[in-house]
Amino acid sequence: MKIIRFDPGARVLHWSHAILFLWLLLTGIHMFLTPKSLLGDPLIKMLHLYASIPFILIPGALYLFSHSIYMRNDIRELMSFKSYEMKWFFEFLKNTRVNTKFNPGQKVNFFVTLLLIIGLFLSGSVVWMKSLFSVDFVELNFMVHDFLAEISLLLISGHILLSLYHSESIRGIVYGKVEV
Amino acid sequence: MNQEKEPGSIKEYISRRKFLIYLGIFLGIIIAGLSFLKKAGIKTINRFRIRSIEQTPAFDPDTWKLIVDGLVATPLSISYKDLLELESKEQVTDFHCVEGWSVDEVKWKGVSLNVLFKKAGLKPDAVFATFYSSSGLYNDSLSIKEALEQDVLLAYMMYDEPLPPENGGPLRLVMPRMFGYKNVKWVNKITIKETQDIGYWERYGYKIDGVSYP
Ligand code: HEM
Ligand code: HEM
Repeated sequence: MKIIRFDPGARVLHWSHAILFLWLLLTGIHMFLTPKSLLGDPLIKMLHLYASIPFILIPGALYLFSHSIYMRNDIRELMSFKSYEMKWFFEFLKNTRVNTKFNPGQKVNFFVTLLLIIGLFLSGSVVWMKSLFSVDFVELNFMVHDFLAEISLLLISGHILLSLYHSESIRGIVYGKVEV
Repeated sequence: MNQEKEPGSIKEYISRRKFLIYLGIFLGIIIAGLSFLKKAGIKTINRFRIRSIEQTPAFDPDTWKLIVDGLVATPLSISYKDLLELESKEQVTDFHCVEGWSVDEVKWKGVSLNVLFKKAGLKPDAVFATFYSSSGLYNDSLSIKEALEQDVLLAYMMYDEPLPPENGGPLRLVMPRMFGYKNVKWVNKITIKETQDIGYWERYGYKIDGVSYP
């Protein structure tokens, strides 16, 4: 039997955000690996900057204005991490089943992703408007921006690997329904 | 189909204050950790990234010369050997790049410009100095007043070793207060002028003051 796991609202939120995130990550890595002189790659720099605006606005707007009850319920559950759920991480290799829609690992992933987005947005904005700030502050923000991007790279690699391992879940996030 | 209840506000599950506290802790740990690592001199963070618009020039200590000309009483042509015998000084200063990275506490040794300017004797209308890299492609300038600031140096040693070629060896300008593009590498000519030359990167939009971001 097939049941709905993600409604269109939730899927649009996931994929619009995921695509922009990966885009920012790839253009960011490109900038990180090449000298950033004025002759360096102004196009990539601009594509990174302008992608950062929908990157913040789209999920924000979807969350605020969409009528998707599924999506709101999903977010609500993902935000409801209880301290007793820590236990799950120690039993991770035992593949403990949970009777909630998302397991504690997914909840932590969601929360850390949220922190990363805000951190990348704040540090990215300082770096963007660097002529307003002191040199030391800008340099610190560059390091923070890079470091957060590195954590994202790790987190997303894990996320994609796990989703490939639980391949039925991909059907869910792409088409909405999963086999039970 | 729609059996799920309309959820309440997200604030029922995590208060805004709690979220901000988590965010603060998360960013705080990262900022403190990175600052600590940089101070601890961890090599991958506190290091030079090599930037240049030209190939690293070859250096022959027997034929190399430093020229000081323009508005001076006695134009100079100093060999590498003579340069090392001039009055020298050592300093530990930070190096900042306009790209947004820096290297803390670099130890330099070299000759202060005061020594050269005295030797050459500046004429009364001397106001600016242009520093040329040996290829002739790259140059940048300082006012004489800036060139005579405390920490400004023509460095031939870095971290107690002869200045490595990719860092500007045999001789580079060190102006710690300004971004790296003002710290001309492979200097072999200094010309004293009445008006200021626009440096290589300044022609493409970098600021001539060397301290504000473009
Ligand atoms: C959310 C809004 C974001 C803003 C406003 C932003 C802004 C910026 C800016 C202004 C730069 C510097 C460009 C320059 O060299 O002048 C930059 C670089 C970079 N960004 Fe972002 N960014 C954002 C999101 C992201 C995300 C989501 C990632 C990756 C997951 C990312 C990864 C990077 C990387 C790796 C660099 C290169 C930094 C370096 O070269 O040291 N950024 N970003
Ligand atoms: C090719 C890339 C991606 C694939 C294949 C993928 C796959 C999936 C799948 C299958 C799920 C549903 C899991 C379930 O059924 O419970 C999911 C959920 C989720 N995805 Fe992705 N995703 C990708 C990229 C991203 C990116 C780039 C981000 C964020 C930066 C992201 C953030 C999330 C979040 C927060 C969830 C909710 C569950 C959780 O926290 O793990 N995904 N993704």
